[in-house]
Amino acid sequence: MKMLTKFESKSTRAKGIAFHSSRPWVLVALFSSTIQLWDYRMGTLLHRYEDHEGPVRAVDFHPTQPLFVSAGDDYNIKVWSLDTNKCLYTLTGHLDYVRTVFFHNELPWIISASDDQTIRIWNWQNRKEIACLTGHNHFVMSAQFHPTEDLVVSASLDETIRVWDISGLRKKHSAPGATSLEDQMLMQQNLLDGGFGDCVVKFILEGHTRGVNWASFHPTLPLIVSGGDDRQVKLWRMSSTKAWEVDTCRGHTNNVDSVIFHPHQNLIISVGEDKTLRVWDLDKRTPVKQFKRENDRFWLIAAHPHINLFGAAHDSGIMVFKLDRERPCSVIHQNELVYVNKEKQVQTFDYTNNVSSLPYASLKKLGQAWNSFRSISYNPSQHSILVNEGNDRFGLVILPKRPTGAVDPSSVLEDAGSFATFVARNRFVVYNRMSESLELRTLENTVTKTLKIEEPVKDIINAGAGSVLLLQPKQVVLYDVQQGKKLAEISLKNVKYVSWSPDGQYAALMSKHTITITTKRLELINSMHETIRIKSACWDETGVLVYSTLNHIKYILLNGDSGIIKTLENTLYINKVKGKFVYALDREGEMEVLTIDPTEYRFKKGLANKNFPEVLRIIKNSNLVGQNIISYLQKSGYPEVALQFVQDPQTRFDLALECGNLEVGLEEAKKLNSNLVWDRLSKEALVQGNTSLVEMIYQNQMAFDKLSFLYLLVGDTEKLSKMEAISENRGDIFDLISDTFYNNSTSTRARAFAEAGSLPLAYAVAKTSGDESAAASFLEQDEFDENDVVLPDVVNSTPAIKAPAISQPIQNWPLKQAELSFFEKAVLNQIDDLSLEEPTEEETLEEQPRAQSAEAVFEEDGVGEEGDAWDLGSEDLDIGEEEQTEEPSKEATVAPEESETATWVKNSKLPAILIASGAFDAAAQALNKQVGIVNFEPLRSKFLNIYEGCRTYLPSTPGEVPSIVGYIRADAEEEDPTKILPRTPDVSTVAAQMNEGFKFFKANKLEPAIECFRDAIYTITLLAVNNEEDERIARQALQKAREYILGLSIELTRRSLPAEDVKRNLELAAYFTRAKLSPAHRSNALQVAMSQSFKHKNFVLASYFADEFLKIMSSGPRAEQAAKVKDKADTLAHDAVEIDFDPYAEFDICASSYTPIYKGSPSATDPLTGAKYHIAQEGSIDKIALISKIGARSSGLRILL
Amino acid sequence: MNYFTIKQNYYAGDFTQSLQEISKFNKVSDDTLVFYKSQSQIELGQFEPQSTSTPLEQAFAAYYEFLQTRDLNKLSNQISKETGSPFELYVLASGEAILGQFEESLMTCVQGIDNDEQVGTSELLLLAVQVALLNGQTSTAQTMLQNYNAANEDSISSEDEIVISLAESYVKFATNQETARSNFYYFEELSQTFPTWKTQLGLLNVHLQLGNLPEAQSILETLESEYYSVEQKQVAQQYKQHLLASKISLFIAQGNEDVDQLRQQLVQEAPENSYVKQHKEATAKFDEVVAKYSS
Repeated sequence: MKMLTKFESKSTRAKGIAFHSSRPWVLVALFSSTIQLWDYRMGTLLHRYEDHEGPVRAVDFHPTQPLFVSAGDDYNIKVWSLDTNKCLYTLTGHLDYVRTVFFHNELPWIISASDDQTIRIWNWQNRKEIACLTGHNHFVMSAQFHPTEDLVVSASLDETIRVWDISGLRKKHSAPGATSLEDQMLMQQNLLDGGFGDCVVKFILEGHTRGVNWASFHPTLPLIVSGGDDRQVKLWRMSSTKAWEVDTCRGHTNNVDSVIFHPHQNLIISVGEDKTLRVWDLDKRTPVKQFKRENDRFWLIAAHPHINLFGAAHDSGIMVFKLDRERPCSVIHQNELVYVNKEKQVQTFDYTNNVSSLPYASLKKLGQAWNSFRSISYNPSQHSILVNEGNDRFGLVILPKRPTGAVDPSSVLEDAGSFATFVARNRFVVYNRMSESLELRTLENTVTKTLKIEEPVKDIINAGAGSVLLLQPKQVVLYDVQQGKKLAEISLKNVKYVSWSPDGQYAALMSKHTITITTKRLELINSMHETIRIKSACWDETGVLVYSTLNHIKYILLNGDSGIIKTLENTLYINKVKGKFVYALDREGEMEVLTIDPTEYRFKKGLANKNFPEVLRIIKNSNLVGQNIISYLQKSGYPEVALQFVQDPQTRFDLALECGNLEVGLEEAKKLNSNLVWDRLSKEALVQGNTSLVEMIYQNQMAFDKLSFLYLLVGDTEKLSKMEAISENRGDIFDLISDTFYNNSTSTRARAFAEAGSLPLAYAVAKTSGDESAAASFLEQDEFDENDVVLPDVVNSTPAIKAPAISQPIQNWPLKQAELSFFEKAVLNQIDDLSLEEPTEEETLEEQPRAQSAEAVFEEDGVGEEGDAWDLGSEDLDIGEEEQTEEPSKEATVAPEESETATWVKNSKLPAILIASGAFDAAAQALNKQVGIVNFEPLRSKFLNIYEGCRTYLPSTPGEVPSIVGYIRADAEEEDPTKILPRTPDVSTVAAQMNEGFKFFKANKLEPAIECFRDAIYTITLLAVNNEEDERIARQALQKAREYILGLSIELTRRSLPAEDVKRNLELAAYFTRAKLSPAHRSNALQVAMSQSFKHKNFVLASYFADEFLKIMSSGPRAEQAAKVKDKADTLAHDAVEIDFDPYAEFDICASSYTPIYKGSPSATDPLTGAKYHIAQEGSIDKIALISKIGARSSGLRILL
Repeated sequence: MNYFTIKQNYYAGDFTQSLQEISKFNKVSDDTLVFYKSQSQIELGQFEPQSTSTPLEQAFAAYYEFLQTRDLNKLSNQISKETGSPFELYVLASGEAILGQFEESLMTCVQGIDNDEQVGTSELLLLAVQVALLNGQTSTAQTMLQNYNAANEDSISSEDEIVISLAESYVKFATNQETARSNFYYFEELSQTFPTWKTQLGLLNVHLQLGNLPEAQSILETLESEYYSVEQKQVAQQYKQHLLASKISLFIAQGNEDVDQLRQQLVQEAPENSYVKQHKEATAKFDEVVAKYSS
């Protein structure tokens, strides 16, 4: 058996283990005298308690108080506080080793069992021993209270189990006023009497032939289970008057040391010194599971009181484990969840109406009892599920059409194999562990293909359209089952679960502690680590991943931002997120619908996507505030958004400056009014060129020097002169001097110098500015003669300052543009059409089912070796084609309202729908605009078939009256009037036509093959599909059809050439190889080119084609021949005929002239088929489909509804 | 008098049985008997004008003549819209509907339904509903049916119920209501109880609406089997056009390329068939498209 081990500790021998009732804690009693407290969820050792002398044998948490009790070989019972981690007190009295110790569920009692042959009951509140149960005549190995009744069961090496009635004890100790002297004396007496009266032996159970090590009560039934050195587990039943042995479970090969009942299931779990842990069926007493440790004897088994967890103590530590998976299997199909409930019944949950169905079937008989299933996969077309039973077996179960109750399914097919998963309507894959291969099987379970997989596979997940994700120990591989090849891979360890986004674009790969988000091609987008185990994940309709851990629901955005949405009490497995509802299965297999507040992640997502209207709407309509969100916004570079949230002036000011919002900055600066703030604001205003604001600030701050400089900068001479006057009035010589420089007022400056006592400078200024009289007066004042003064050479009269070139001061001189952000505009009502109302409750988003349900796949298998109609001379040409068409399971239709056809047109304007409605002219217009169709005649039958294919005529009464027309809808049961559409051809039609074409190709019937491919193009042109997958298939088919028509037309032309035209023959053969055919078919083209080249002595090219051929087909007779050709050609190595073909050049082939269009030369493209033409062909009809005009202006084909 | 079995057989399309049931009333005659007798005979292509005739018999004689000539004059001269009985008006309205005069036909029906005479109004309602559907007035058809049901809530006899159920199924068929449910079961049950050309074709049509191609195919095969096509040659001849029309829908859905052949056959054999009319319109529209873009 493989157990689901959740935690293991390594230590010396562990003898006791106990679970905390609410926290993820276990206590471990070690033989080494230590008690450990572990957090088994985080795997950390929380504390070590060392107070016992010698081995500790038993521990128990109090069910509600922060207490635990321990006991051991020092005869002592210790009560500890979990708050202080200290021993509170010690209960002494036992005279030998104490084997077990337990708290009572409700009374303040402790029960202990000892080698001194007694069982004692203690009151831990008054720390008194209240009873001593004697009677066993050997060591008492265990003693426990009954969970609800006043009973005790004990096991002893005297080979008996005793059941004691302690109702007397309860009466005495809960009776009020029981502390009278008499009572106390009586109590003492009782103790001396060994508890007679209060605790009486009710039953003595004899049957074990050696000492009994353990006995436990059943939680609800009158049953006891025991285990002993006779290696047996015995089950006993009690009535009110007697008790008797029911049965014995044999199997242990050494002493059984501990045995318990499963808290919720009808199971017995026993452990022993034979190093095994065994699980038994309580009803049948048969072994169910067994787990063995190599070297460690087990000593104790304990069950968690509430959670489905068990703990076992053994020779080298403990293990915490689950017996079975608790994750209910489920799979989403369209708007339903198919799931298996706790009773192994298949149910569905309807997300639209939020109801679960009745069970469809009971799968009780599948797999092994007591083993839950691993996973399921659903096939809507067969209405069946694949059940992976978890034991390397699977079952294919066909479900009844309607849920009628838990009946046995009518058809079940079981077989060996793991991870069975549907990959198509009629195919599924199974992993065969023995051969390490993937097997593709039909619904009849016949293997059609076996694919060897190198690394071991841990699980398989459907990845849409015939491909799967292989979860391997060190990587995840996207694997195409049809082609049998890897498409992509990513190195990730131990990925366990995968969640695809509804549109199939992203995958969330989950391992225990990591979520990795990738594209559908497994390209890494981001990855995040969780400390708590990740349980499940699901994408909401907007592409946010919502996931659950053991105790939280969280989210992660594609950009890696994440957060907590909700705390969980119980583990849930999310399967859908729709708006503010999270749908999850609990461990009971029942659906829970939780309401969450998606505001935070929507807000962050809106920001990340720069969807500002959404962001603003959220700001206006929700109370999303807090330091958290503000710092998030700042960090993410959205100060202007943060501004919307803040009241605090300083923060608002900071944010305003950060986003350059001067207005708010000013507003807040006024409130704050500090120099620092004004400084910062003025700097920002200066860079933004808002001079008037700068001026205002400088004025307020009396920063005259700055103000002057500002006026200088902006060329405001008038104000500059005022500044000069002000400086003079203020008597600020320094400012005045600068102002005179700014104003070039030399006389003032000279005067200022003179007044400040610097006559030489005053003289120099006056002299150089040519003011001789002033200069003279300064000289005179200083009593100098002009001849005594020699001015330095650098001083000259040329005025350094030029008159401003501008007449008006500059008002606005921004160095930085501060544009209004979206938010500011929105706040200022500058944005039209901005609705800030909460959108009304969204419509249900229809998810497109991935893969399975709607896929039309054309399979082009490998190359076979027989059945060749191609005449290639001596060569054997061989194309294996195994075509399969998988019809999408489609239905469709609607409810009444006006005319049916008007409803169709209202719901879609695709050409196909217009045609079905009879609006041929509108359809033609659309086609002309979309893909330049001008020649409609070839589409005649398509038009008529679409139009008439959705009508049917019911004879009238009387029969002579014209018949009544009825309309055929895409889904007859569709009730939503907005989804009513006519039945029109679907991609399966395209696939059928393509496959027909391939068949003709294989049979070397090229003209009919071309017709088929052309027909496919016509069908695609007039297609209406309802999902992107189908659209992708259709568009791929269109390209493929084009390539085949092109290639085959070239080949037909080649075949019609006169024999002497060798050059053209070789060219066309070479061009044919350039058509993008599927490899199997391209090999034909290559072989033609190879043999033609070889025949005409173009050996270099022959070698090239042979080489290309061998890349596709490396073995078989054809390959051998190619290899021979290559060898021979390589020895000759020359080309006899020069042709216009360079194998290494990039070029398209003109679909009209069949000549190369080299890169860079002018060309025209057909809007429908995408075929390339020489520019001269522009305006002619496309040669591929014969309906569209080459190079016509077009908007592109639209086929998605 | 109890006409239940007569009506049951008539509406299920077993006209021979219906005539037999009528013949059991050989001693008496009334308008209802005349109506079903004449209608059944016409359906079987065995109509015999009566020598001593009541107004209704005369009306049928004129109607029979109209079916050959497609000239409505005589019939409309003979039957007065103001005074004609519901059955007589039924005959007139049928003629008008056959010529495509749906508005007039509907007026004629309404005239008869509002008549004081009760006998024949349910039949007339059935015709009115069909005419409204043919005229594209689905809501009118629904309203008429609802009104009739509301007015006669408690008094609809079981034999009238046969007629009303059929009218309801026509409406549901034309408006895609309950296609997968009650309407399907209606036709399925009918075709099992009375496996006739008419009921089989009804079920075939519903299967087509549901996209149940294999089921539709198997009904087609049944109708082409000897029992239906050879042993009931005369009836088969009457229904062949309807079979062809359904077969065309089926072939298109199956992607069968022989559909053109069927079209030609239907055009030749029943130029007046609803399908043929729509086909011609569609072809003409397509011709216009081709011409528009090739010029």
